Amino acid sequence: MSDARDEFDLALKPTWCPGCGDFGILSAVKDALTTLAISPHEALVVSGIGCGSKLPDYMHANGFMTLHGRPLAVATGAKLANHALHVIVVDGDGDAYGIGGNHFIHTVRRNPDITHIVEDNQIYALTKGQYSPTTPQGKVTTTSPEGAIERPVNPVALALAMGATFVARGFAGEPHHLSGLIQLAIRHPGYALVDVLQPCVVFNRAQSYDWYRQRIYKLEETGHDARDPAAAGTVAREWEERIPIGVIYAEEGVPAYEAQLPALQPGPLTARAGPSATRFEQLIARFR
Amino acid sequence: MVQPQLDDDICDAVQGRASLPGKAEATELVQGVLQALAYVLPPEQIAAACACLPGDLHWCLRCGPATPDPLIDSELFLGWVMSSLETTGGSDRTLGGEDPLASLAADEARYRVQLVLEELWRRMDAEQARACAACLPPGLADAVDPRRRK
Ligand SMILES: Cc1ncc(C[n+]2csc(CCOP(=O)(O)OP(=O)(O)O)c2C)c(N)n1
Ligand code: SF4
Repeated sequence: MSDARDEFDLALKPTWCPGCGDFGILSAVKDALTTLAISPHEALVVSGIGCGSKLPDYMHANGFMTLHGRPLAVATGAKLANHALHVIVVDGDGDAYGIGGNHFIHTVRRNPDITHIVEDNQIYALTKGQYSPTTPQGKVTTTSPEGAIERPVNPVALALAMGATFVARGFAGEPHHLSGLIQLAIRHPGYALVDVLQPCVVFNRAQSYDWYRQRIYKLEETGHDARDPAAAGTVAREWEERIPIGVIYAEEGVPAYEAQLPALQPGPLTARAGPSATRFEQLIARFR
Repeated sequence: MVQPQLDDDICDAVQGRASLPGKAEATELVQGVLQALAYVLPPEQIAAACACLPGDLHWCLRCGPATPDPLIDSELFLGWVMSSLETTGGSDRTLGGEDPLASLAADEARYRVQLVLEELWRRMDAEQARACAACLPPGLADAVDPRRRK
């Protein structure tokens, strides 16, 4: 296993703080791809901007660091152009649910075959500790000196409300379990959210490894039926005292966006012959 | 297997060696390292480690998954200790945020992990201690070598 995982390894050492949950997420992504026998050239890892969004730099695969909040748009374009590519988006909670919140909502309901891994540390870490959409109410940060006023976004409940076909939550402190979730998400033929509880040992010292350990429990050990929307809705709202990790919801049989797009019925762009040289010249000439 | 009987409490020993201000800090540190170990040691080594520690610390070693997590690396292991260390130096007025000290704190974290592990190994049968050390994430032994402390 570890030999194969080496395929995705780079000599480059991540610049994350020692102890950062992003190390666990990186290991889990590499392990999931290895276990599914996906080669580096068959995977595209797209990110935004943030500590967690540096992840594509630290693994050997196709990578695309986009603008802050825009990875889902770029990933959707890549998937439409090349259906064979395994497209994985990795970004922070600020990127995914804040500045990229609109893309999140519409990508969920569009259902392209993309795996979305959100490194949810409940803070803007790269920019040194401003409150994010998932920061707990009342938390003091540099931009909420008297405590965050807003109620936090519940990303898994929001995804369910928008009609997500696969919703899971993992814990960066248990990368092996997380790898299993990412494998299921990659195999799911549609948009798949994996929200990852990610300790940030510098700017969010409340939600530590120990804090999560005291609260998380595994859905697969409870007999939770991930095909039942009502049961999914109930566990999606659990937080604070007990926090479920595992597959919250999985719906089969919903065709992916790219399979339904009329313009792509002749096949993805990569499977079609490009315009001839003459046609290309004519096109250029029109704009001269 | 004969366990060496050490009179001193592991938290007291760690407090002294790490120059921590109080027992509470030392206990938090010991608990952090033991919890990290709970995620990487197999049941046999967990049992061996428990046998040489006071009962009120056993929960720390028994809080992990049923089987060790092979994907935990030396950096992730440190996370359990980093949360108990000061990693920001207060407000950075030029940039409006906290001033991270994490890279400096990391050296201290590695050093403290080393101390706790040494104290734990001292309390264990040598063979068991070697077996436990062999289960640590690759690179951790080098990373926590105090000679590498800056
Ligand atoms: C359009 C734009 N706005 C703001 C920024 C500044 N910025 C960079 S990263 C970031 C937040 C990062 O938070 P998150 O996405 O949660 O990632 P983390 O660093 O916590 O992993 C912000 C506000 C930017 N780079 N681009
Ligand atoms: S600041 Fe937080 S999220 Fe960023 S690398 Fe450090 S621990 Fe990780």
